[in-house]
Amino acid sequence: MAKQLNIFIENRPGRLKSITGILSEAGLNIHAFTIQDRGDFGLIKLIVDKPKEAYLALADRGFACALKDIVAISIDDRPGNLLKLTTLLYDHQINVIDAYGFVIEPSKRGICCLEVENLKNHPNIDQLIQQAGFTILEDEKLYEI
Amino acid sequence: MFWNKELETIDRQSLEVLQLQRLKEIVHYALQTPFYKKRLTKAGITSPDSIKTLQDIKKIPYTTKDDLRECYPKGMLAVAPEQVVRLHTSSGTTGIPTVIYHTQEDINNWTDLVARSIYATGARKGDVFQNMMTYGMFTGGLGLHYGAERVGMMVIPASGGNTKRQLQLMKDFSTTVLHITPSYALHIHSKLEEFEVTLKDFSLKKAFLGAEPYSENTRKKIEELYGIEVYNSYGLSEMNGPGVAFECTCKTGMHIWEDSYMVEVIDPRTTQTISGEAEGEIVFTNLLRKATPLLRYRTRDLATVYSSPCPCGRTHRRLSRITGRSDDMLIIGGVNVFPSQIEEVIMKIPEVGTNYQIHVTKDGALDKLIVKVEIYSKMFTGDVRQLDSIKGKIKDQLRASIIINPVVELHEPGALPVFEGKAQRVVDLRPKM
Amino acid sequence: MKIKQVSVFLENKKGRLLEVCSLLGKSNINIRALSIAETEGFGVLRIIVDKPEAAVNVLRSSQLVSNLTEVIAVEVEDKPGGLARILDILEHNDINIEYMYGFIEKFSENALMVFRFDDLEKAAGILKANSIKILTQAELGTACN
Repeated sequence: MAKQLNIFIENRPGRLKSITGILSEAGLNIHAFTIQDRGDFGLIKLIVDKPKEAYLALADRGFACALKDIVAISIDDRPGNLLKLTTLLYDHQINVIDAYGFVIEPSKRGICCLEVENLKNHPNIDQLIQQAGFTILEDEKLYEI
Repeated sequence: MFWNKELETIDRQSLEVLQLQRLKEIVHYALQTPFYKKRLTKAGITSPDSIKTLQDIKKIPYTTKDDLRECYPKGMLAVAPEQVVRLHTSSGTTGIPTVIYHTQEDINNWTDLVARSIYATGARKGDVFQNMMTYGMFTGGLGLHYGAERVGMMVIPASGGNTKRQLQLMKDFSTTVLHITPSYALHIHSKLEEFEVTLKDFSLKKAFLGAEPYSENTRKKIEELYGIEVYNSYGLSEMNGPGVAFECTCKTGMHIWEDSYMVEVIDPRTTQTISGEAEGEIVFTNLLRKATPLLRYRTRDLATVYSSPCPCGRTHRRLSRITGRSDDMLIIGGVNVFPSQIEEVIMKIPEVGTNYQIHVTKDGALDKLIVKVEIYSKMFTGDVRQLDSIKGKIKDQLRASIIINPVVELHEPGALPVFEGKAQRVVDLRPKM
Repeated sequence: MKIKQVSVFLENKKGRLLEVCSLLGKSNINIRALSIAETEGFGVLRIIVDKPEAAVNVLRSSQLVSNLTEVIAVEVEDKPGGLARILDILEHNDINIEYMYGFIEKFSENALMVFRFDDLEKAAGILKANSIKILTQAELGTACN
């Protein structure tokens, strides 16, 4: 498993700036971020190089945040691979609540981060995905990309 | 001109004789209740004979909303349950409601007072009356309904909401008299164009406004907008409901029906009676209701009682507009809301902190309630679903407690001011109507 | 005016809190105030100690994730209304409190509260202007049990 940092923010200007400022001050590096908008509030989701440090730094500054387990998958950057992954998940009734992806080596590799519903109910999810030919990025492997 | 000329134009001396007689009788009924038996005996009042003059009313201790809550459900019932034909409850400041019972005679008396009130405005048999106040436990609905039927008007029990339907009813049945809240009256007018109707489609002549405070300017505005006469109405469920005080055609204050209610004005801080014509907290004693006598009930409403004679000839003194409250109760969309009701709901939800704020604003002409709470960092799991569910839970529980539908806003920890007192948590941004 | 708060990321396993306290105790570092916020999988321990930098070093060398944040320690009259008065002043000056917690022992007949504000400088200024005593790191360091 890898950890993603989820932060609750109000929908007003300056929140992103505040968060990135705090992390920058703490010498932390953000690898990916996405925002879920809910009108008057939202959730920022970050992949950082040191999630626990990031959590502490933000919590100390009064942010409501949480570390979430995600499944981080390295996929060869070719058409059809995402379909292969999603079919696999469907076949095993693994429900994805949130997902985002980014290419890290054009034409070579992409990373897909998945938030899975009731992750605890799928203890063999890593094996399933690996058997299908994908690579799971655990902790440091993800944080150091 | 008068529904009951003899009573409405009675001279003050005879009125006082009548009041004393009725006060003694109601004290007799009060002594049948566990609550007043204890309370009055402690004050040295053991029978109606302990009340020899009207001044003796001061021997009776005040009754408060808290007392009503503590007595729920039967502590203030003065008659056998089989004698009760109606009850009305209202939510209290915390989860415990209050209840007022009525016998058939009580209902008849209440109906008569409302009929008298309606008649004083010039409304008559032949008028078509659309009752746009909520029916149910809210006394504004049934109270006016019965009175209007007694006068002989054609009554449309429309209840509140559904503007399109209200306009349809007004058109189809040529409504001439409305019973409505001031904010809803303004709201409907703003919707006429949207519903493609004009005032020419209607036959409106009068409106009775109540349930929330509003200024003389707002009355004039509504009169101008609709081209009708607007009359102010005052009541509270503890004193039956509407029909406690109502404006006559002179529209200079609401006549308090003093043959049925004794009114006193007190200083809310010292609880001493204020002499002369000065603003204070209004205290009522219901002289007629036998099922649930209420003596010297503190309304928490602040107002003035005018003694000068009214050109209409009625000798009953007039009540000014209500200018405020001596507690923290809010009136939102015509509904009474205590901040402590909101606080109680919030405290029960573990995912939000104890910090909250209540904002009351306007959305056009209608009141809007916004309850702001802070996410409790400890309980935050990082899921949007959790947040949506917290919001939903708060909304549902608030709606069950305070009846109206608030907007719930989730805020970051530390975003809201920290206070120790409840009153400071309320920010009322509405301009005075 | 500002003092340093040590925050520690604690996995929710038995004995973690004891581990922290004993590590600090062995290094002759005194805990003056403490607050714990626990979620399902982990917790954050916030402590005020007499030697904050030393504390962080000791913790980090034991593989504990730890952070330093600036906060303000305020003297509060230890009687009803004492805290209310301070909250009132802060609110009137539009100062947001991100979090607060109390000290274990008293330095005088007053109680001590730790506050984290969004704008520490402004808050310190307002408190001083209203004759509310703020403790310095030195005053904390030299206080005896």
